[in-house]
Amino acid sequence: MSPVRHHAPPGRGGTVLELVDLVVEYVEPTRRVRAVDGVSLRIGAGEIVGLAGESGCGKTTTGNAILQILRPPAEITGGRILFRGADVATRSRHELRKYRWRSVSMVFQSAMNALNPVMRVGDQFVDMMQAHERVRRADALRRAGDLLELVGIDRGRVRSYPHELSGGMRQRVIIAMALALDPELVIMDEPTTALDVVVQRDILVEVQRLQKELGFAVLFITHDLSLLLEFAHRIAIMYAGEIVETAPSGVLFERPRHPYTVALMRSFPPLHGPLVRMSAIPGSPPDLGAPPAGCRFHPRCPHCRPEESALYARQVSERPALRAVADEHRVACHLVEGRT
Amino acid sequence: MRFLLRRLGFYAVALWGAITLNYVLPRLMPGSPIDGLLARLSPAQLAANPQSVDNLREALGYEKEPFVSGYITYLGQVVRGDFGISTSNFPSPVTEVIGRTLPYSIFLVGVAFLVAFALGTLLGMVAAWRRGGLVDNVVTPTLMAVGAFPAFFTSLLAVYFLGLEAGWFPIQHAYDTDLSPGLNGEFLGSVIRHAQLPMLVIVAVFAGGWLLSMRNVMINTIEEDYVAMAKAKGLRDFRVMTMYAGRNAILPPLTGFASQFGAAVGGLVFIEFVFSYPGVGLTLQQAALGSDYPLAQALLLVLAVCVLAANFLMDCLYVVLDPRVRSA
Amino acid sequence: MAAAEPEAHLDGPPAVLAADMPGERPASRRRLRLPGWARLLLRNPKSCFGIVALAAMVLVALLAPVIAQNSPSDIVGLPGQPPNRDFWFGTTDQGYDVFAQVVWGARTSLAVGAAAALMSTVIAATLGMLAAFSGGWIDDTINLVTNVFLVIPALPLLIVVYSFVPQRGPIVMVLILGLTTWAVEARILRGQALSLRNRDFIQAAKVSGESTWRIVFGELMPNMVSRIAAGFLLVFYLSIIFAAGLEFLGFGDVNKTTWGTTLYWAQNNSTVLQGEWWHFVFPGVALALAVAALVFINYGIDELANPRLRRRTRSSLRRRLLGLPPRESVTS
Repeated sequence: MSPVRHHAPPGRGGTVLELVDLVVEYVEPTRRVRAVDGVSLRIGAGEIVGLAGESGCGKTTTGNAILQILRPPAEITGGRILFRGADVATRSRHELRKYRWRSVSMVFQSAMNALNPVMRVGDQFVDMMQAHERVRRADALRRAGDLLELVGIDRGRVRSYPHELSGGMRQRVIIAMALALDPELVIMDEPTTALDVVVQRDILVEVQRLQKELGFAVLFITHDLSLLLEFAHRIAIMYAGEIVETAPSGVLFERPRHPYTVALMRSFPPLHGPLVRMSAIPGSPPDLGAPPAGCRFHPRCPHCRPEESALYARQVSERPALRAVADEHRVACHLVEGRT
Repeated sequence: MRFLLRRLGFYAVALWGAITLNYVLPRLMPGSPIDGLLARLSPAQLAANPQSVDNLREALGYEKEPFVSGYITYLGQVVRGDFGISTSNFPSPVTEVIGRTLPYSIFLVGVAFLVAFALGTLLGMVAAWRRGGLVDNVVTPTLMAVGAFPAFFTSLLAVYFLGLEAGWFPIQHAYDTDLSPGLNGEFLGSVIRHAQLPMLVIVAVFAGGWLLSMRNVMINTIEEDYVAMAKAKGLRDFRVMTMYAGRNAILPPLTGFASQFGAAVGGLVFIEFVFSYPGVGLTLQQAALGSDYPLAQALLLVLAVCVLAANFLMDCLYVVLDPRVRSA
Repeated sequence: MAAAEPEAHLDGPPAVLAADMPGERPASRRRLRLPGWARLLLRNPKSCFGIVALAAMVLVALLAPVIAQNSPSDIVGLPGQPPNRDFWFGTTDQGYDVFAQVVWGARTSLAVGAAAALMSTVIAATLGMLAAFSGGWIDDTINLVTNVFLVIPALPLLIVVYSFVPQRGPIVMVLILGLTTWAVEARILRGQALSLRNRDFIQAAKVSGESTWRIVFGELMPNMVSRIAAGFLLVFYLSIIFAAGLEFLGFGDVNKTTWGTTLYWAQNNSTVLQGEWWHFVFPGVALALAVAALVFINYGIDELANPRLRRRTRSSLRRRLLGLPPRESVTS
């Protein structure tokens, strides 16, 4: 008997979260840095959406913004975050507390640091449950035990301290905690990066199973594109604070259109198939305080050549908009002509 | 548990070292310590009572014994609690003098230092949580400034401005001089009233240091992922500040409690001196000035033991507060 | 002695500091060539205040004959005067000029503090590095002695030692302070030396056959200079406080002019109870100012070592945006 309710399977149930032109800036006395610059994204009920990009591209900031846990001096300065159609930013403090974890929860990157080292695991479940509903401590502890069993951990571990658990177990605890209040969306920020490959796989299989059983939506943030190709329904590629391509994962794998996506695909070697020369992307990510004019990728793009003067002029001056090239496949690139 | 046993062993060794130092020190000093004492007796007294010199010599046990066997004897005396006769309080034995004065000091320092610790860490926690707020911008620099003054200066200021000018507090002694000690309400009330100003001074002097160290650790702790996750879980602000951030941030300052306690004992001497408060601090100062070596040395040892005891209590508290230490 | 001891310290070569500050111009283009650390300390508001205040006090002390016309040990006016135009800080109950006493007293008080701190730091650095580098029974012995000195509370120890010594005076004060206050720094420096010992450049020196002394003083110490300097400042202000405190309690030479002895006479002659506040307030403020100056210099060094304590600067922001960990050396 599962401790959480079941949701409608993917495809039905409407849009859970929508980001509309989200802008997050680090506000300093001398300047403002746009970590997230006009990001739009839609996540449907029960859908697994991957958000991929290099370190510093703004993906973690996006995740933090959704839960409104940005640390100063980061601020949301533009756009909207709509959960089930209602703007998150206009909620009162009280409503915001209720929204957090109940509607949207988060699996943090390194579980060692995400658990309070001086509190028992069970107590960390209890105070979360008691913050949201009236429940007796004994009942809350029992539910915590159920949740631990759900992720494959012995329920006696409710009494353990975080340092008494292994890395993989801690990550499972974090996942169990994220599911405790039966949220509609779970943001997973690099949930397996800190673990070794074998454990990584176990955790991901676990998450897949839970997702099928309970039906929550997932925003999976990672720099590891290969994980997403296997795991996500849809993938969004982020570069320098912008989304440059979104597509269902199968489509992205077979027909990547944006030069950055193409380069990312080429940068990890496939286990099967012919030997292909590995290529790194030349250059480094731009300084978000002074991003390149026009298309932000143009300094590193192999298709940006001064000889092609007309195209080049556009590339260095005009920011490309996300245009649809097929159903569900949108690209922000001057090389790609959209439909209509 | 092994952690505590190791700490206890460490303290035992340190105590042995302190006892040994106490034995070695007077023998390292130039001249015989008895000379200092003799210098204070007038020639008339000496002439009238030539035996007194030898009596004192014997009573103080300094002369004639070779180093090693004297050490064994000394150790035996320490273990038995026999510290000799106090020359400035002749013929009271040293232990009686200490027994009379130690409770007052423990009362004063015990209460005040704990209050300083509690207040300082609480304010430090709030100052870091709300950076740029009232506590951070006003209270912190104020307490730091007050704490920068040496303890005896703050005591003088307190005596003058709060005691003399404003007349809010009594400024001398531990209790009204016309009362006699006893477990009755009037006496105890007088004791508490007389202790207020010295305690206030101790809190003022030490709270600032605690505030700063707690604030600095807390600023780092707030950046930790578990604090962000606690907020993300929808917990109340207050709970995140105390149970998640504060509970972890207090651990490093707690380890500094030990060394601060040594400073507190030093401050105690000054404060008791200024307030003429009859505790071990004042007694030590008078004993040292009056060349009452048995008393002075015994007091040094007692104070060292107090510091060790306070350290050990803090270690026990640390084990309770930090579960990671228990399995180490 | 409530001012907190610095918690985090620079544990690497000074190159860390230089790289942290954006926009360094090459030294050759500057007209005034201050060393890198001096520039950094002056840029930080806290340490800048400390340095300026300390420099001012040293200047006043050196210029004492010029600034204070009266001699501190002559009776120059009516006793018990509050501050007025002739006597800026008033006169004592015996008729001495309090201003002269504070200004002339600065010489002895600051000098004693500095000398004692120097002696203490030399002992602490030598023992600390020796213990870290030699290991074995040398380390254990030094550790034992250090622990004993740490456990015994400082002021009572000083009082008892003083009671055995018949002479009084500044020189004795320096010797006694220097020989008892080294323990705190010795432990910290030993810790730092230990962490440096296993670094590659030390191992390389060992393997290439350099003698222990040369390694300790030639390779190890230059990397610990910043911590040693911070420790020196710490013991400096502790010594000033201890010296003044001991003199206040009556253990100094009561005929010399120092801040502590002035306070001693204030207490001894009950001027406090008679309401003559100027007799103790001015020397006390001078003391507090000297201590505060040194403490603030140390705060500045602290903030340079732990960037999170500073107001947010551009360089730390840039690191955060790139997802890099902040540059810090936090000790827990």
